[in-house]
Amino acid sequence: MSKPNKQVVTPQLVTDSQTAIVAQNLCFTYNAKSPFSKQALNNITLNIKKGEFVAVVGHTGSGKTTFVQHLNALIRVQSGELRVLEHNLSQKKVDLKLLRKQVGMVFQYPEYQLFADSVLDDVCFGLKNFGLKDKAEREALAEEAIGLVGLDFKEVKNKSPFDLSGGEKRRVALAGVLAMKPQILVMDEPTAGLDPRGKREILSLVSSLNKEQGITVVMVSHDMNEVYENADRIIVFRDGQIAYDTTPRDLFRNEEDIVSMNLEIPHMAKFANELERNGYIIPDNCKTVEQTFEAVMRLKGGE
Amino acid sequence: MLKDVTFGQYYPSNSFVHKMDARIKLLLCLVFMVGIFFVQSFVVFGFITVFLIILIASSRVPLKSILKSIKGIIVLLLLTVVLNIFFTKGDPEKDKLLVSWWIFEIWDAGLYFAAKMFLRLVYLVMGSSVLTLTTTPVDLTHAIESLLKPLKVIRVPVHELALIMSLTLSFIPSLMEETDRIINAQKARGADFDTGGLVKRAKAFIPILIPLLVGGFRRAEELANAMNSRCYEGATKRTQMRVMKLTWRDLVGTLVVLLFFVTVFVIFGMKSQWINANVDWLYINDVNWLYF
Amino acid sequence: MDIITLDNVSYYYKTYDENNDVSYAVGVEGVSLSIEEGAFVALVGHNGSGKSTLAKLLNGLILPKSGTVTVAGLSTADKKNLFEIRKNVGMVFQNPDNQMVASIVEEDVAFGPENLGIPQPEIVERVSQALEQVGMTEYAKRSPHKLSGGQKQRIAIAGALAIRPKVIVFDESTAMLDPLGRREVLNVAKQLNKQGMTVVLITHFMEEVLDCGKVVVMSGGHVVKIGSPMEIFDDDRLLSSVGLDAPRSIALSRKLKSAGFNVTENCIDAKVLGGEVCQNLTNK
Repeated sequence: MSKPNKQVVTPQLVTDSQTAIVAQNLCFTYNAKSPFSKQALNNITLNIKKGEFVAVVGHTGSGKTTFVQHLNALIRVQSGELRVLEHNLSQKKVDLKLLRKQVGMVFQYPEYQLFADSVLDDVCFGLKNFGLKDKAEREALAEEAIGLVGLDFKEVKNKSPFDLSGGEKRRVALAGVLAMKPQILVMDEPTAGLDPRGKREILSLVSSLNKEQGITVVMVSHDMNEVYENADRIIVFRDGQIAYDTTPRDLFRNEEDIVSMNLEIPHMAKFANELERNGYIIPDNCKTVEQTFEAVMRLKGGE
Repeated sequence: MLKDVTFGQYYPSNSFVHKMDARIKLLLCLVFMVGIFFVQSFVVFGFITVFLIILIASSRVPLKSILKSIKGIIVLLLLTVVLNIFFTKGDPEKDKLLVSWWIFEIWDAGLYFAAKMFLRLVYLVMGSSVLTLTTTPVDLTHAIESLLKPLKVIRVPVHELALIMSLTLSFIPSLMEETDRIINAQKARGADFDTGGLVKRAKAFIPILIPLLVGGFRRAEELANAMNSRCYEGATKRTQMRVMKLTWRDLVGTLVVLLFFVTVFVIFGMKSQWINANVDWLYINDVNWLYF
Repeated sequence: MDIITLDNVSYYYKTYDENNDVSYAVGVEGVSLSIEEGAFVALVGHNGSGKSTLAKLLNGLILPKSGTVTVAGLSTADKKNLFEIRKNVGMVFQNPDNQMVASIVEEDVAFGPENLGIPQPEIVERVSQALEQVGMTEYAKRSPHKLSGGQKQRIAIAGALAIRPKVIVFDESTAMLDPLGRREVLNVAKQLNKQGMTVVLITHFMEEVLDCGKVVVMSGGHVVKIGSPMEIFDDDRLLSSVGLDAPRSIALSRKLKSAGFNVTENCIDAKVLGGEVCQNLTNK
């Protein structure tokens, strides 16, 4: 159980209609020509299909933010191949406007980027930038997005974003990205700084966007419990490389290696591992407290 | 992106210059900067060059860092040189007109003037960057606060000004990072800073400026709370951990600088008799080479 | 001996309602609380429950509308007391970046003692001692900017320690940190408490309060319950009703216990819990 087990999903550069993101030998060095150069990405190869919920984790400085910022071309490809939907990001010319409409990115503490006079204006910012000229159409999309994040459109639309609470501000920022109806949603620690209820609400929103609307989700997070319960797949970055690319349950069986990377083992994974060590199997898809409890009851009942 | 701008930042080392008292360095730097503008001849520039070489060598900072600071004023330099070359009118009696075309005239005096202006600016920047590279921002602000103390008598809020300076300095890195973050966040929403006319581009910065301003106020409030919590009550009764002591280095440094400048100004500043005397060896092509 | 006492304290925030009329939102209301010297007290609640308001009331950053806050016998309402009060109550805030006053670590830590007018040689001693207590001695001459969040918070703690307070309040100091940083800060907090410092930990992570002697649960500006960590977890509906979560391992252990398993109640270690469950299953 302690031997590092790298289970990598075989990457294919050939993109079919089901591929969202493909990277092959992606490398990136900051300040390449100066004495302060730092290699942030070292041969990253991965393949993410449409509709997947992928969590990207790793210690601070492991390269995960650098990688994720390649996805909407905030960082241009230095070396290697990267394809996102129909865009080839290794080429010089990329349709940035279309790309950024299809790949919505939510940064950490997104509430700090709000600027407009009214919530409505802020949410419509992206829509305006992407060329939607019809005001009524913009408002309709904004209304939809604001409703999606759990806010009352009529109540907030004319309020100044700065008059809202922290949690509300974050939802407005999220709505601003969702209004563009992206196909891929990239989020950097979407629950950072929220209290448990706030975390649950954001995660269930993201989960439903993924499961019900088929949006591909790439979520960077430090919270292993969160990641364990919500992601279909976890990619672990370590020192600029991919250390693991596998399912949550499989990943956390490598307890020693995970801890050595300063990552924590989720409670339910620790529990399931201990049971496994003693010959009791909890199904891989039991991740929450509820599911684990029921699985244990079934084990009890089965004997 | 913005993070790459080096601000004439401190380069740690144990050199002679590093260990000098910040107040002395500041004063000498000011003397240097003022003095540079009085320099008239290339010969004197030669002396200054020697001085700078000694200074940079004894500060042990890499030449690269010094040159980097010049990069910042490249535009100003080019502008100055070009304007002076083309628009300085020489004295028809003393100087030679080299080229004339339309409204542009290039005099040899213009060339010399442009060259001297170039040197002045470059040496100015180099001299002051040696100061910032060998002195931590903290020491600099302490030095400024200390030197301005006498102004307290006429009610100048010296301590508060020094505090504003040091706080600003310590927040510059995180402000730059935040600016980067905000720019990226708005870019991700389709904001375009590269295309469009002047007005459009200016408008495009509103989504950057407002969050920065709001963030700035928030920071300020949090910082004020932190400072109050640590018993900050203004300048009254405050002591300081950093003690600035003058050492032999400061004496040596001051003497060296004074030696250079006094010598130079004595020789060239005063119209002393033996310089203006018609001594043959002072003149080449009828020009007193000391003043060239 | 109580070092801090709150007696029926209320505080309201001025706000504007839909018609742009002035209205008041509850920060805290009718809060009565006492903190003993040397205690390790946790203040938990959802965002907006009043815990940050309470933090600022503890050292007079804000003054109560009604009721009194007394620190070491002094009331925060009297302006003349504030200096003395703040010498006794150190604060570490949430944002690691926005507490830095200087661009060199030891200068930042020295800020507090400098404000107190401590003679220079003693400042140097206090700074080095404070840095040692938080394990950041080798960073004394460095710039805080390039440090990790956990390291920055430790420097903020050192800055508070240099004043030699009787109490340190951690106002959600771990909220913006990664798990490693959070552990660093909590370890320092626990260690300080072991050395006799009164520690008030304000948080919404229930995992952090397990070593605390007393947990104060807040919601909507009111104190809802005060008890030991185990007493809090034993009250089944409480945490979820105030928007908090019990650590998952504890939640599972309680469920299993109710279902008849012979396991440690409120077990924080999932591995231990697993072992006990296996024993249960094997022995059935």
